[in-house]
Amino acid sequence: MFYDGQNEGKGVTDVRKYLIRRILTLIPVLFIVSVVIFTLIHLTPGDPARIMLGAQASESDVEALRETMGFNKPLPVQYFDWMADIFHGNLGKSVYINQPMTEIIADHMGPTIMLTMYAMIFVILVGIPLGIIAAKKRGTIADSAIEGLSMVGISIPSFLLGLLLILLFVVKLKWLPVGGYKPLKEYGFLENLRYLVLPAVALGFMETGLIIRMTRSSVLEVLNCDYIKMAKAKGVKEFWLVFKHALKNAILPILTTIGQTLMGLLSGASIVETVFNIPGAGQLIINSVSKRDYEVIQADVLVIAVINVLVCFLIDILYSVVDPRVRLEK
Amino acid sequence: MKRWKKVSALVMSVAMAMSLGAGSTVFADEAEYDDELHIAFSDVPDTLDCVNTSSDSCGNIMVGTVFDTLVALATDYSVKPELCESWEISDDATEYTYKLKQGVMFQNGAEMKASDVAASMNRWVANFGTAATYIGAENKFEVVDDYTVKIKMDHPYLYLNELIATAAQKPIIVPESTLDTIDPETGNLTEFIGTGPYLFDEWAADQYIKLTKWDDYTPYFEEGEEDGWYGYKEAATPTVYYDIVTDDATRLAGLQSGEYDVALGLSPDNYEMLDSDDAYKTYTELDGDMVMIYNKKEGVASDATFRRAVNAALNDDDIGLASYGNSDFYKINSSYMCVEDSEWYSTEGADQYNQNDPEKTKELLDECGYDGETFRLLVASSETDFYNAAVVIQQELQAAGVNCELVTTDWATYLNYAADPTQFDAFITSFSVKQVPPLILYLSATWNGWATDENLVSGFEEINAATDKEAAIATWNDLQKYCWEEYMPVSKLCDKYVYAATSAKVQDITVFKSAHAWNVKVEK
Repeated sequence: MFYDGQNEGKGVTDVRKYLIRRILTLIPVLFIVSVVIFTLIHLTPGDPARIMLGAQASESDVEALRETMGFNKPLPVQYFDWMADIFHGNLGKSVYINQPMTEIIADHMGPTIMLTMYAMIFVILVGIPLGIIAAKKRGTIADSAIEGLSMVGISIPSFLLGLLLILLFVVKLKWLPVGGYKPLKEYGFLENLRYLVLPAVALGFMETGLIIRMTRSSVLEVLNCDYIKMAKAKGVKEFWLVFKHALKNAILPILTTIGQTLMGLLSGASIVETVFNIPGAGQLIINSVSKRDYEVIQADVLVIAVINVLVCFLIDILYSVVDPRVRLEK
Repeated sequence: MKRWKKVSALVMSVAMAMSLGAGSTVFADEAEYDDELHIAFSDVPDTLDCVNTSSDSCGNIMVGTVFDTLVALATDYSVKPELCESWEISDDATEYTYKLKQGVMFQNGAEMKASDVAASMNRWVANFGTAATYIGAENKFEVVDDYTVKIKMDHPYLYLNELIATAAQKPIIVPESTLDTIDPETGNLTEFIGTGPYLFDEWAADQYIKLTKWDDYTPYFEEGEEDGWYGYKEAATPTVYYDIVTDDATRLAGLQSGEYDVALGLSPDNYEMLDSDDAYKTYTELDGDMVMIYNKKEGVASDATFRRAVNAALNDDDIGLASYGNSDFYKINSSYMCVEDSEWYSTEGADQYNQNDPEKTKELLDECGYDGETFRLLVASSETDFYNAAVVIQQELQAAGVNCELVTTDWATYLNYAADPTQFDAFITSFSVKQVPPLILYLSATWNGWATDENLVSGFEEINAATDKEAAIATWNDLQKYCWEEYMPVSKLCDKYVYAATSAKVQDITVFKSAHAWNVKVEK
């Protein structure tokens, strides 16, 4: 994907070509995702008509509703109907939620994006400094303590940590709400944060452990380099030595891990959303799968696939920004 | 060190600011009671059009608050007039005439008239298969005058009021004009306009359902005249939130932190903790019965002797304990009609219940020529109580020589499999309390399990056509005896109980077939 460039003068053209190529590769990816998700969800037993009418409904009522909802059409016809709708800018219609699909997705994606963002900030602000401290204090009690903390982070499931945080900060201390979500736009930053701080910590804790370990090993590797010893000998202050010289060169593998972390946080959000009752995209998928709300599942998965591709793309771009030696492929 | 102090101060400031944000409403209103009631529940309704769903959550939220019905159920399971003043049943039980209350207003400002009631009831019969079966799809409610409706059936049916009061799909009364706005794709109402004290305000998907006080509402009963779903209702708390909280632990934590005033569907494991704490009130009620329904259409369980063999092995005490973990939440009871005070309660066939007799099972298996075929017991993984029961049943059956295999699926798959005779030999589910035997779905010839036995079908025809209740009760006693001793359409496992927990500040709450928002006040 990358090579150490000798074509610096063509940088802008390369980026443009790269952008176009990535966007074009999105089309087959989304097509495959659409076929796989459509086939999987439709081949799974269960149908929305029966769920809507409930366990005690008669067979004739279920059959009549299936007919009304169009679920008796052959599967290929349903797939092409859905594709035709997408090409007309319509992602489909929920059987249960009386809103346009774009609104449903946007309403549920907002909390997930905010939650993921807060968790990412927590991961970066806690993980990278602790990783650096562990590297700097290698072999000391501080290093062992941070190593232990990262092991706990990696080991503890997010739902368990979430419940423990609820017990302490909600039930015992009564500082924070048990769950729910208040949009940033309507309620402001503090109220938004109040509802998401515990879920963000629960979600980010595992990834923090990973970032600590990755940062520690990367910084340690760089700290042993000759140029660092030289800088030290020249009297460069400790802070600048670490942040200006060591971290800058150690950041590339950390950046890769952060990219993976972001996707891990997005996919892990559904569990935390359930515990903290956050109406996010993960909750939407879980509820839609349990109710077989086919078109919502399909649209939600497609949007998440797009986000994943975009995150990978963004990380690729960031590589070349952080390390000028890296150039995007022709 | 200084830097750490600064960081600590910053963290403390943010925490204090956030805590103050939470408590700011406390000073906003000096009234005696809270303006908001928060009820945390787990079952997300699929629609708020109660005619089109048999899930309990829709009716529990919308009926009595936004919508009302013609008749309603009191706590002794008797049927009382709600939107009607009175009713008359013809001697041959083929004609029902309802005199409607006058001056009952819809939330759109129009008065409720007979045309609205007839249109709503006819929609219910058309959309609810059970009603169509008992009433007859071709029989319609008709307008007699502005305040009278009647229905003339081509056959006698003595239990129409019981059916209206307890139907899984609720016969809500809405303005005739709103039926024009029904979504053609789903058949659901798009406007929720009823006669109750609350207006439907908002359904925030996966968050809450919000009801707000209807200022122009005039109660049509006197204060104090209330019992169960029947009677006086007012919007004592202006805003009600039904918070959708799917995780049990979160509902409990929210109740403990004061965020929710009422929590439903909590685990029996938490009951003693809440019941012994003065900060909470608990309300326990009979929720219905847990039943194992056999596939009588095909497969190994289509043989009645095999079904009796399976039934003989069951230890219902162990099953109840495994399912509910606490003897307060299940009861050993052989009567298909759960309520002991009911005239339909029967102990006929009780000796066939809770036998725990593996030797008898082996004898019966020999008698029916069982040679180790798999007995597939279907259960939904999301229903912990049913699943635990299934695990115990599997062990008991294997010990008695039945090759029992659990088929565990998610809820949606379970619903499909339970309707497909090729997918199971028995499945476990539960039913709410019924007032009359013909409403027991698991004894129906057309529903899952397919109890098509001629004696059972003709017995129910007799009960439905009876104009003499004593004779009907005698027929029912014979039928229950026949079911336990010969036909064995189901193995009743136990009665089950549930509880609602509220903050001690919650007053005047009705807990009958769930906890209800009307008349509830929450002390500040």
